[in-house]
Formats: sequence, structure tokens, C-alpha cells
Amino acid sequence: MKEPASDSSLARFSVDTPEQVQVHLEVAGVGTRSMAFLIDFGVVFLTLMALLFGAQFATSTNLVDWPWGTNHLLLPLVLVTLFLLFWGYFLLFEWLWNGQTPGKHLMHIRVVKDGGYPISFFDSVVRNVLRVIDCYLPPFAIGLICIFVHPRHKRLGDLAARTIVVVERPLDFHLPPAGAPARTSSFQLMIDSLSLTIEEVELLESYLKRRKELEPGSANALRAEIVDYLRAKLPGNGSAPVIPIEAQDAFLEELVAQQDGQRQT
Amino acid sequence: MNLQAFTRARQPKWVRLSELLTRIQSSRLSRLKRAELKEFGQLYRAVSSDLASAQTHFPQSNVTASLNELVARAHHHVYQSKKLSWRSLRGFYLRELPRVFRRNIGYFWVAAGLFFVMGAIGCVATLMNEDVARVVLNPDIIDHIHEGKMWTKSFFDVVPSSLASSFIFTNNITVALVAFALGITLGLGTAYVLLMNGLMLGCVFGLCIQYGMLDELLGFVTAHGIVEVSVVLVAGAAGLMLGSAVINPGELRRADALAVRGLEGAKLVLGCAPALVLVGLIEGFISPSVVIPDVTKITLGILLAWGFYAYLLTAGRDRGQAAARGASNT
Repeated sequence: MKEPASDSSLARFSVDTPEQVQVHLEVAGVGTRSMAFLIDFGVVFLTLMALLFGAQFATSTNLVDWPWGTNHLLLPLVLVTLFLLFWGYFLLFEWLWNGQTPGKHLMHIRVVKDGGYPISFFDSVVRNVLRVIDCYLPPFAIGLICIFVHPRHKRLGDLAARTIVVVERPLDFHLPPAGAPARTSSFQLMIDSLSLTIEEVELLESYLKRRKELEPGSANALRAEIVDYLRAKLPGNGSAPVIPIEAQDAFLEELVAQQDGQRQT
Repeated sequence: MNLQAFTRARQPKWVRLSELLTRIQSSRLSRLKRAELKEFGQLYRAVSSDLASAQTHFPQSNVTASLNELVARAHHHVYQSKKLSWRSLRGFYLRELPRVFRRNIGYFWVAAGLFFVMGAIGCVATLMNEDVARVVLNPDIIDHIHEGKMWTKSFFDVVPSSLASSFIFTNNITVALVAFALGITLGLGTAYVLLMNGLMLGCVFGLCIQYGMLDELLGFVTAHGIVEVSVVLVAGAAGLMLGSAVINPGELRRADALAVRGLEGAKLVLGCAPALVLVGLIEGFISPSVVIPDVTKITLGILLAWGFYAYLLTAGRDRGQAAARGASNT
């Protein structure tokens, strides 16, 4: 496991799968997790209320002032259901629904083990029993503070259960920008007709690697210089199509990738 | 390599894998047909290698990001941990739970020590000066004892057994789970729960001895009480395990110690919780009964306690261990 990447405010970390591929996971932050918790809390609260009102109606008693003397089979049932709802809601959902509760599902986050694996029953027990300390023990902010402070946004329950809450991004296999085909084909033509020396490829690679560290102004200047140089190299004495500024980085990336590919084959 | 060509060539596999994933997520892995399971595994490996080449060639592309997401999700299901089944539940109770208890029995002794020493202090202090009980106990309890009546009687006379039982066992399981969770406060919270409960029980005994009600107290308490206290002590032990992982991780890294002892602690508490349901029912239906003679109740309580400890101390011993013990006895 690697340290979280430093170039982003979001905590990320990567795991190596047994297939020797690195998968990056993005850790959910305080905001998303609090929102998910509030949704779940709301669901539990409303269910509790519905249950209590329903039982009150059915037994014609007043459950605010608990009717200890009433012999009605519904009352013990209500007690046990309240108990199961309080302890079981998070525990069972996260266990049976692959680390998600309704709130987490809506917020597109999921609890996984540190290695990216699904959590087991007892992992869910540990993290959700410790929820009492994290979320319900006055001043009701211990978990919040832990998530805020911990580099991988873990509350005490996550620390003890070795779990982590990750963000699920939507899958999108659509190809880059709309209207791309025409431009890309002319790009492709340029890329195919350019043959670069090793030094030139190294220059491009070092630019691509360092561009995020450069100031935007000097990065743009440098890129313009590189693109002009490359266009001059093309046959047709500068008649090659102009590359829009926002597409230049993509162009250079693809050019380097292509050159690498050619060298390997 | 060209992103367009790459995407166009491999996309069908990615789409198929995400279709299978959606189906898995809406049901369970076991719902896929055998052929589909095999296909899922093959697709997962193919897409993994696509991700690897995409990472090298198109590190900034949204396609790479989506491939990463797809592999992360699939990885999650390929390496799914074992699900709880009847078989694993059986194994848990026949072997694992008692073994975990014995492995951590030291924490149980510490929890029991805290509870009973404080109980003895409470009892002796109350016998010497009744005001001590006044500080610790509900005044209602003290008034009842002064009048020579069991305070439990007025509760059980009013509340039906079913309601009393369910209230008692839900409350006791909550106490046990909280005692465990409080262990994260370096064990201080757990120690507090153990000491306070010990003190209260000690004061009740002190008062009942003083007012000649020890027989009645034992008659009420024994049937359910021994196991009830024992499970709370087990939960206390689990809490102390959590706390000790933070204070004294031993040879492990602190995070590892917390994970190992947290898991074992959770197994202890949750594994013993069903016993609280049983003794809760006994406390509601049998303990307050005026029909059942005290001798029967006390015998029941002792038998239950014997069963509880015999199970935790002897169940699931492997043959080698048992043989070694047999050899050393002769």
C-alpha cells in the first residue's frame, strides 16, 4: 500500500491486486460521510417514530409514558424491534449489502477492508459497535474529529475494524470530447507522420511529468514552444492544422504514448 | 498505442463485466450461473490487464479512471470473504468462541477482579455504614429493604413477564456492547462500568445482609444472576482487550493489535449475547415466580453457570491438547 498521493486534497491510496495491477481508491471525506450518516439516521428515526405511533394506536396506550403495566404482546415486540433497529441497522446493512447502507448507497460510498476487499460480518460488528463512541457519545463528534484528522479519514470504528470508506465513481467509457473524431483523425495523421528522436521524446516526457508543478503561465509558454517546434517538423511547411490550446496536452500525451508503443514493438 | 483504437477494441469486455457487476450487486455472487461465474473471472483478469496498459499509455484519460473503478469494484467481488452460513455458525460455537475465550482468559480474570473487589468493598462499606448504599443505590430500593420487602416484587407484580424479559435482555445486551465499545478509551470506560456494577451489587448484598433478607435475595438472583454477571464480565474482558491494544500492543504494531483484539473482542461479546436473552427470559418468568421454590431456582442457576463455564473452558479443545492434558494428569 502506498502513501496517499500528495497532489490532491482528496485522500487516495492504491492497492496491488493479486493480478499485479495497481488500483487506486479514493477515500470519502467528512462531508459525504456525514451526509450519508444523516440520511441513515433519518431513516432509523422515521422508522422508530412510525413504529411507536403504530404500536401506540394498536395498543391504545401512551408510549411516551411507557405503559409498564399493560399486558399486550405488541409491547415486548416493540422493545425488541427498537433494540434491533438501533444496533442492527448499520451492522446488517453493511454486512449484507457489501458495505453499503441506504445513506451510503445514495452518496455513492462504500465500506471496504483496507486492501479493497469486502468486509466480513465481524468487521461490520466492530465498526458499528464502536459507532456508539464515534457518533452517540457526547459531545457526538468523536468520530467526526477522527475522520477529519486521520489521513485516510478513519473514525475509531474504522481503525479497529481495519476498514475504509471509499468513493464509487460512475463508469464512463465514452471517448474524449464531443466532436473529437474529426479532430482526432487529423491529430492521428500528425502523430503518425511525426518521427521523434529519443531526446525529443524525453523532452516531451519531462514536460508532461512536470507541467502540473509549473506555474500555469510558464507551462503554457513552454507548451506553445513545443507544439510550434513539432508543427515545424511536419511535412508541408507549416500547413498542418492548428491544434486548439485545450487539446494540446492530450495531443502531446498521445504522441508520447504512440512513440513508446513503437519503440516496444 | 492509440486510445481510440484501444477503447474500441476492448470496450465490449468492459461493458459485459459492468453488466455482470450490476447483477451481482443487486443480488449475490452465488446467483450467477456457473458459466457466468467463470466468465466473470476471465473478464476480470482481462480487464485488469487492460487497466495496466491504460495506466502506462493513457494515464490522464477518463477511460483509465473508469477502468480503475471497474477493476476496483470487480476486485471487491472476486475476493469476497466467506459469508456466515449455518456451517460456519456451528464451527463458531463449537470451536472458535470457546477458544477465543481461553486465549484471552487473562482479561477475563482482570475484569472479574475489578468487579468482585469493588463488590466486596461495597458490601463491607455498607455493613459498616449504611449511608454508603444511599449514595450508590436508588432510594426506592433502600426503602423497600427497610420495610423488609424485595424491591423487585413491586416491579414484577406490575409488569408482565414478557415485557419485563424483553426489557431486561435488550438492556443487558446494550450494557455489554457499550462496555466493549468503551474499551477504546484506553479501557477506562470499561473499567468504570465494571467497578460501578460491582459496587452496586455489593451494596445490595450489604443491605440485604443487614436487614436479614439474604435468603430472599439469593432466591431471586441466583437463577439468572450468575450467568448474567458472567456475560457482563466477558464483555468487560473484551473491552479491556481493546484498551490494552492501545496501551500495550505487545509485539504487534498498535494498529494491528487493535484490529486483532477488536475482532476477538467482538466475537466474545456477540457470541455470548444470546446467553443474555436466555437469562433475561429466566429473570422475567422464573426468578420472580412465587410458585417455584427457591431450591429449584438456585439449582437451576448453578446448573446454568456450570454449563456456561464448562462450555467456555472445555469446548473445542483439539485432540492433541486434550491428550497432552490427559498425559500430564496421570
